Amino acid sequence: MLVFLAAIALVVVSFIVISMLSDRITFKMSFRNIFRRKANTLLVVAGSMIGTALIVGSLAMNDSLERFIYSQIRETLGEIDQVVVTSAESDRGYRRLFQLDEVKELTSLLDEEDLIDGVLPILAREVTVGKEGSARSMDRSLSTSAAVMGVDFSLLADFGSQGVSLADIDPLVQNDLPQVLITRELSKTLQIEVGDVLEVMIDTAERLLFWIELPRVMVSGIVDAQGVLGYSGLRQGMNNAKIIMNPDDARRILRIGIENSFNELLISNRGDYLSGAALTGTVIERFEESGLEDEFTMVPIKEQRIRMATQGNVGLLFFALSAFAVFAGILLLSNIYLMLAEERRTELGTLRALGYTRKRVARAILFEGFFYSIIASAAGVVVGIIITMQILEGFVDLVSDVSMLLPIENAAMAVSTFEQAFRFFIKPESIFFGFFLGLLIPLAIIFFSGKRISRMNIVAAVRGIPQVLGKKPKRFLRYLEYILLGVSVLMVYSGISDRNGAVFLAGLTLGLLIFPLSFPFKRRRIMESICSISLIVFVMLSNHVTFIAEQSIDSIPLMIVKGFAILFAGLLLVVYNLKTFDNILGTVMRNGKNRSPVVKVAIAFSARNKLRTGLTVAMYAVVVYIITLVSIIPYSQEKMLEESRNDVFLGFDATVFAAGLQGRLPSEAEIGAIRGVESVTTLDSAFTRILLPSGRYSTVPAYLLDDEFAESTIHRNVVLWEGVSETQQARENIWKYLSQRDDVIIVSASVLPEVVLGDNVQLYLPAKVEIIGPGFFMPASPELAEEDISLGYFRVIGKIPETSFTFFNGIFMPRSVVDEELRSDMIVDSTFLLNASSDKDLKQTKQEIFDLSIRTNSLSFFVDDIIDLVNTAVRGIVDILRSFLYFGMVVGIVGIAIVMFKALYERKRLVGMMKAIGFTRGMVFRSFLLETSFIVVVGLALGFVTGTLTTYEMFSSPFFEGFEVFMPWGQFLFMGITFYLVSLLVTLAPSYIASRLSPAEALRYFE
Amino acid sequence: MAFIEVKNLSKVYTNGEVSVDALKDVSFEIDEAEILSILGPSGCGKSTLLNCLSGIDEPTSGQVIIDGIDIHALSDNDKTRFRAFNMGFVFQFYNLIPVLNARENVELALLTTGVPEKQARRLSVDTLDRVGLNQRAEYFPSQLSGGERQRVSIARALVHNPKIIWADEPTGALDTETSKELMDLILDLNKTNNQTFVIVTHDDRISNYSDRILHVDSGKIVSLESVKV
Ligand SMILES: Nc1ncnc2c1ncn2[C@@H]1O[C@H](COP(=O)(O)OP(=O)(O)O)[C@@H](O)[C@H]1O
Ligand SMILES: [Mg+2]
Repeated sequence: MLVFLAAIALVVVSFIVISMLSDRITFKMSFRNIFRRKANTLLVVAGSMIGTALIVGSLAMNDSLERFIYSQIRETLGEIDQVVVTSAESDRGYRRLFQLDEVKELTSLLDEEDLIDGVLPILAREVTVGKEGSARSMDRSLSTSAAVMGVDFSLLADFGSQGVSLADIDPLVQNDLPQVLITRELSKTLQIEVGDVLEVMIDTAERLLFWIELPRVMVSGIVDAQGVLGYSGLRQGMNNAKIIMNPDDARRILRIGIENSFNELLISNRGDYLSGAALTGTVIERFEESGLEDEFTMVPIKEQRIRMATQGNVGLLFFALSAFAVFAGILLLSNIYLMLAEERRTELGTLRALGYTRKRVARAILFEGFFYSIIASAAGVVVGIIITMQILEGFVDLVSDVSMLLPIENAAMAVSTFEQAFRFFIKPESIFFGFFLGLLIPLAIIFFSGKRISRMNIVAAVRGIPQVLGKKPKRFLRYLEYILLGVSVLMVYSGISDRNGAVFLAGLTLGLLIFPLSFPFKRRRIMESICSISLIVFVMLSNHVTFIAEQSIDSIPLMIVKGFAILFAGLLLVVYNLKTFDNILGTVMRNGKNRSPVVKVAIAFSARNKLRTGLTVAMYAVVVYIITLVSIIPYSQEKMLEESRNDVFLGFDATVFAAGLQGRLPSEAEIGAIRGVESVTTLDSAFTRILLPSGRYSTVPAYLLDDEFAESTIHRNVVLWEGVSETQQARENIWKYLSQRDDVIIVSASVLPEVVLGDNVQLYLPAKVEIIGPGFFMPASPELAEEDISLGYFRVIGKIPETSFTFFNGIFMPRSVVDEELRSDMIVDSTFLLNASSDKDLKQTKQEIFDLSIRTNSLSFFVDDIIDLVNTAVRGIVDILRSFLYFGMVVGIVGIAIVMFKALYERKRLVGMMKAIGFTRGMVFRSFLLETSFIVVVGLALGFVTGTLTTYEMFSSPFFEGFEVFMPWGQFLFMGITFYLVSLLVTLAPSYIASRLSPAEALRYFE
Repeated sequence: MAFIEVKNLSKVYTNGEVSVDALKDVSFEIDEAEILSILGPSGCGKSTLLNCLSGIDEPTSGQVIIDGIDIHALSDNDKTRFRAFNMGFVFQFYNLIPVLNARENVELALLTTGVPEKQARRLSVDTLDRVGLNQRAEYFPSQLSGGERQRVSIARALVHNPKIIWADEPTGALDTETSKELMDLILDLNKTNNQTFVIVTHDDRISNYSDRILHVDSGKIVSLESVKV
């Protein structure tokens, strides 16, 4: 794409330069036109510079976000694309170790096909570590959990396309202790320096077994936890404390007796840390063919992370923003250069009469556009970069990973927020792309309008009579129209047959908006209106079409097509009905004295030049459209988050849970003893297997609730089965109802979407469940195993809606359903939920709970803090977007300034005439301002309405099921008024100049 | 065969539903080296006729044959080239290129016919000299008076020594005195260069300079009379 663009640009530029050299007089004319009206030139350059800047800025925003997201992936995964582990689990959830021979076949197969550029066997395990003598300490500043990673340093250097070089590590100090590298994070947490000796505790139980001597290592270097070194194994938590050593030492320290054994095989696909993931599909296919499938599991870890990162709402918002901002920039460029071409019409007509051929005339205007656009696009790139940089600088510290926070998929991920800088970044491609767009769009527009003018009747051009199209272009347009209609029919057809919503809708949009053009002018307006309205209605209802609804979950193109469809339809509707708006405005304004001629003149001008008014209205509409989207969506989410406060911890104020495998939980009594804690309940979870209507088995966590839960929860966000909704108790407190039965369950729609209210489902406790990592778990076998224990049949009496923002998703049942013996075997995790009295001591209570969790190495969270955290995170990103959009507003404002300045030049004589026949200064001034108002108000309204419609449409898709639209009226009002006033302000100058023109001077004015 | 033959020339302007018959089946001939004035009330179709004759506008039907060439049968590029080599134009509002100075405006007409720049420059200065503007060669149109501007545009029309010069109300925007001077200039040039002048005007005094007068009304020829000297 880039090469293609560059090639086009190069050809175009060299063509222009060559023809400039060979046609000196035309060159001279074009060149002097630059200096003819300096204000005008300045506006054209400024406008097209801003258009380019907006495009470059949008691209930079996207690049920055992408790098922000990818840098996290890169830091924690580096070039790792897949991880191979054994399928079987040992005691305590550790995986069986394997030896390299076992996977040799796979690696050589992958190597032969040239799919990979590195394999790295590692031995990773979480331990507790401290300086000599303090690993057993309970003090967090003395001992901490860390990952031991045994890895062959020489293999590390060859891993991936770049390898990991450890060359700058100090030579090892001679010592009989194992030499290790530690990460900077670990060095900071425990104040460790090179040369320090560390103790490693493999099992927290050893804390009490003080007579056991803990293995020791010596730190010989400190490294950044980046790339492969940032990876700490599938089971690892998010902290970056790591001890890296060679595998033999690791085995000795971890007391692993099996020679050459590892627990994970890291695979890097050919390509860099991002592009490698493209090969994951093929690699997994080979893995499945290799016959290792039974013994081993391959986790496509990079792909999972990329998918999680890019599908977040924030990524989507940014992408949509860029798409529409680029569009707004293009509109501005179009508007400016169309006006420029229009302005040169008389001269070009004269040249034609004097013997300039069509080609040469088109060239003359092309030269001029070239001067402007080459300067403007170069400056635009610089300005775009500077502005985006400035905006991002304002938001250096941002709570990151919002994409993981928002549609919460699992609690463990949600908790792992960390602060990171959202820094400016732009890809060189984006710079070039922006520059080329800024150069090529004006040139293309100039070229085509130059062509159009060169083809027009010379007399009409010389006299400045509105263009009457000749026969030729009409026929050409006709053909183009038929071709486009054909294309749209094809797209609709292929969209339906491939069930591709984006293609189908794009085709439909194209067809519906072009079809009316084949009608004679008079009926076209009506047809265009009908088609536009039908298109909007269709898009609004499109989620009733199954295949569109299905794809609206993850098809970004579809969302963008929908947005454009609504926006374009709205635009055409308005542009074709400008006259109607005039009439309304005219009727409204007729009351005032002296107003009538003012209004008439103002409206006559804006309605006469449909193309220009349409483009300016469109610019405003597009900018306001994006702002509307970017305002409503996060505002609604914030509102809903506040409303779903009681969902987060199932109607409790806080939770305490174990932090990773090294953590320990306090007892229920310990928590209950804290002052201010009103109630505590233990939420045990086990994995259950549920038989789905489809015949598949699904393994989900089951939460076993005690009576205290039913007593204390204030959670009520459960959709009831009609079989129980009659019961008063069920309506009042469904959890209490649940606790008194042993044959009913409540399920989360988010993990069990297939389950229907009232279903009678069979549950099993699987004999074996695998935990692959935080948030990733899967049954040992997808089929029901013989040793799985049936719990019997349960009626689904309630569903927690999918949109509920909660940490706990699964099946909810009373604890008594599983008998005690089974329970102790099957429970994989326990969590405490508690309610705290909300008096002034809450802070103290919080602190005590926090201290307790520190002491026990567990984690605690209060719901209000979580909500705050999410809101801050969302707001941070949204604020960036919004400040960028205010910059986008400049597009509309510069647009209107240009339109009005041009209007001033064009109408100098008319203004003179108006004043001669009795328009006062005030009247002229008002007619100019009114014209601005007309364009701005129509643009604002259009953008707002189409933006709101699009949001409603988005929220009606299954992706946003249950989302409600909340309108930030205050924001809109503020924005609308500001936007309007600033627009008036920039047109004050031309309006004032116009009102001050002396009639005699103005009447004589012509060039 | 006459120099310019006009055969059954008609022109209909259609603007939406309304159509105006600006020329209705007009036929006449113009001789070489004559000065022909086209006279008639405003809106009668004089400009339309002139534009169709010169080929910058398309007639709805009919032919214009200049020196044996049916100009409306030519392709646009050929027609353009024909104009560049054989015709000069003087417009009512001068239509000078504002960013080019007087000399450059004149050069323009030569450069379109492929005359080398140096030669074009020399010829332009000469021509400006002939129209009495040797002092103003480097002035831009905005720095010139109306009469001077029209002289520049006449120089532009003459510089490449075309066979025909079309002038649409060349004195329309000028005062009487200046008009008279300009007409004297045109007459003089016609005598020395043997060029054909077709001048649209509604000023009777100007037509007195011409060899023949074509009276037009409502798109039709009323009369074509010779002027006795
Ligand atoms: N582009 C046009 N569209 C429609 N009607 C036109 C156009 N140009 C001229 N006319 C009409 O044709 C008639 C002749 O115009 P014109 O040749 O300019 O008159 P004249 O030069 O004699 O004043 C007038 O009635 C005028 O209204
Ligand atoms: Mg006329």
